[in-house]
Amino acid sequence: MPNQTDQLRQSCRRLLSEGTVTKVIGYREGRAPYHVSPHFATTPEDCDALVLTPFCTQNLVRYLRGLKPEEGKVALVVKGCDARAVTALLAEHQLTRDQVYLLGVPCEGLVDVDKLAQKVRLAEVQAVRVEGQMVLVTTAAGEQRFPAEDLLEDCCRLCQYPNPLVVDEMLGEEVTPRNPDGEDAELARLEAMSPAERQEYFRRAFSRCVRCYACVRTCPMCYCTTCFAVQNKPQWLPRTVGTDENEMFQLGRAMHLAGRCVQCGGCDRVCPVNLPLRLLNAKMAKEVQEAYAHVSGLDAEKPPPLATFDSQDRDAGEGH
Amino acid sequence: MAIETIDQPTATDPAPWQPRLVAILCNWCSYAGADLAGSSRIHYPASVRIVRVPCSGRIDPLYVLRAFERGADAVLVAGCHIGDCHYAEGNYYARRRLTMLNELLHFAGIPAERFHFRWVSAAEGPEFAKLINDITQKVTPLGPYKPETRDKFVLLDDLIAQLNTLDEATPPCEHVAAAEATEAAGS
Repeated sequence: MPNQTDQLRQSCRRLLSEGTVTKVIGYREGRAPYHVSPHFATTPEDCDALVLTPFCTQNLVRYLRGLKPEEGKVALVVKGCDARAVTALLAEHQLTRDQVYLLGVPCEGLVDVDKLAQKVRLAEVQAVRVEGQMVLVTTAAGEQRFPAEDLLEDCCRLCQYPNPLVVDEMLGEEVTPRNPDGEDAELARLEAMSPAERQEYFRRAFSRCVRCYACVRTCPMCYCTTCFAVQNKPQWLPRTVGTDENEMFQLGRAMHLAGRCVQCGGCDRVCPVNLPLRLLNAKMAKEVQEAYAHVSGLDAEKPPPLATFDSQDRDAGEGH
Repeated sequence: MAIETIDQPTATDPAPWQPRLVAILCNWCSYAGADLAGSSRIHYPASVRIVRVPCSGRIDPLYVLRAFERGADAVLVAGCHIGDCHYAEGNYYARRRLTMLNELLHFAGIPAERFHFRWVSAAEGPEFAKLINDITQKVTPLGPYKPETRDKFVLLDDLIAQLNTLDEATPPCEHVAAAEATEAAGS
């Protein structure tokens, strides 16, 4: 990604000095070579800090929430999933296209730090880059190569849309999707279980949830001013953190994201207790696609599937 | 019959357990259907709790999740037949949302018998009664949706029993044995 980084810095400097945008939201180096922080550049000089690494996990679309027209145009660094999130927000009229300038980054996939830690000592990592089917990790001892399958985030391994679909400027060349058919072995494994086994699996998982709401905070599609989970009037959920309440919270959230989730994997990544949140959302995305031929974030003109209808929809009481 | 007697059978008259069924019905068709069942004196289980909403399109899927979270054993959602909605298209929206909710509940492993989504018109009193009967029959063998509270006590009893037998059954750890030996020698 070094060339991409140079290209990105150049473009951002140009955009800011020409006054096309008032701000660039991107990534800068974080506390370690396997970490980045969001970066807000307002002057051309700020742009030198921008980086692109396989650890650019934070979904910057989150910062578009509540963007006011008087703030002017904002440039945003977007990967494939981020660009879909922008499109989905456009479809829901949460922002207008002229408020954002999209700097698209074709994405080879993000490296999962937890998986990386199982292969090498994190403290020794100097640089990581993804090249096709391999992940190259540079440590003091030299360069090590690992299959991408082993180190990438789950959502990236299964990514169907790595290239941003809507951009104002594309940085670098488009990449081949890792999973063009959208196959998901883990989801298939769960679907093959009996309902009782699945209930056991999910309730066990939900019993761990501490309701930190990190999944809500990181989600590009969660823009309610007050989440139903913390709302007082009406109070949907007791404040108690128990399996039943957690189940309702997580299923309620999956329901809210049905046909809206863009599979960026943010919730999965930030969950401190490793709930299978990606699977819940992937299941709903799959069902919505099968029933209503809708994939979130592909078309800014199409309303979210559960906010519209077709008289030919599958009828009640069919299936299961 | 007072509502309390359903939930708390007395010792003298122990009623068999019946699932608590929450029925969310649209005002114009399904509620009128339930009303017709009542005024026609058709018998159906009294353990059904009816929530009347203006239209099935008004039903937030959270209603259903909330009902389960609060301990409902089964949930029925019913609205006007497609094409008969009082507000022309409310039930079309409901159909999409509740179909997806049904998929989600199925995926989360909640037995299919516990969630039902049907169309009931104002003229379908007998059908409504039959539906409630059917659901009750299907859910009764499954037992309560939330047996956790009961299980918790079972677990606690098990734990207490285990702790009680611990002394005899398990030899003390080495350091405990050593400490006891020292103590015995000291005294």
